[in-house]
Amino acid sequence: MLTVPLGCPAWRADNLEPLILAISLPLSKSFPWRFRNTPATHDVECRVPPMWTTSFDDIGPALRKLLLQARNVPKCEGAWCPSCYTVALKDDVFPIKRPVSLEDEDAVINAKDYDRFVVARARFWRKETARNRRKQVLFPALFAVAAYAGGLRGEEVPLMDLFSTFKHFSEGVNHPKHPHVVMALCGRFKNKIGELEHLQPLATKTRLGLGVLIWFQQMLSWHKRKNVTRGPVF
Amino acid sequence: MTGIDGVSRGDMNAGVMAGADMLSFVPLNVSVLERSPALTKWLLGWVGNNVEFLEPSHWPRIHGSHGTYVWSPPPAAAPAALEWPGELVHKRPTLVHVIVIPRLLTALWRNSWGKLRT
Repeated sequence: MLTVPLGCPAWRADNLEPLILAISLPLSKSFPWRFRNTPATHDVECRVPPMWTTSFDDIGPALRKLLLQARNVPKCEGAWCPSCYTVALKDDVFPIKRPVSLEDEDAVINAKDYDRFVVARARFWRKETARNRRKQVLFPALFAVAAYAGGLRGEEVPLMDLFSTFKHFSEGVNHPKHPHVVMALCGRFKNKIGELEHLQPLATKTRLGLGVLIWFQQMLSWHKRKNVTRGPVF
Repeated sequence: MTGIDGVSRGDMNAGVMAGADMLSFVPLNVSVLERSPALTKWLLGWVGNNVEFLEPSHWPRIHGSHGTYVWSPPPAAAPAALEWPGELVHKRPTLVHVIVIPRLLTALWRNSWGKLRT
């Protein structure tokens, strides 16, 4: 956040009060996730204020450089998930064909479409043996199942943590009374300080017939085969 | 000039003393881009090509997943307007938002602003 003082070429003195300028940068895919308080933003926050009156023309390039840095860092996934029509429409395994506007990214798929989406992928999974093709099926299906069974929004599902899911998976499945799937989310939660682990129990199979357990098992065995035991699931 | 100090100076023919509305001297309903057209040119110089200057009718619209959005709500509308980028930061984390507001009525929108920044 920067304060543009009165009297610079972009904000003349007759405006009588300073201007507040804030830049919200994209979330990064890796730690520390956001650009706030990073050396790059700190540098701009320290360098820019004296430049408003002395070298105004150099402020633009400094801010432009910051934006370019932020744009070039791998970004966090947005709400692009199988719950969006646009993704489902592009899907080659099970394209949903409906007369909807492509601009309406937030239109959700109903439960039956979810079922058809996942069933089509399960069928594809059984037929296909090539690893890369199976990967293309596994993760969107897992995403859809986790989002639906956990009642999560698109951007919440990628918070799933592999280490904690591995750690708690067997105790959930082997529960004597109520076998369930433990989905471990790792992130910041409202009214809590710092990053926490949130263990969310899911049904092994929904009433509609969505197999939650099977896709989690496939995902865990997929990562196990690749000797990956920690980090993000997706 | 507002003419507020007209009573003490005996000047009854300027600004509010001449009958002008006091609020006409406080531009709470005018966005920064209307007040300073030079600002648009300056912003265009560094935000990049894929930029959209949002009008009030565009605030609640569904936005794309890429690009830069410039929010310039009038100070009086800032509390309501800042809710939209606050939501978009979570919904579309790949977007860049540039928000410019004059330092007026800050008590109304500074809180929302703080939440947006965290």
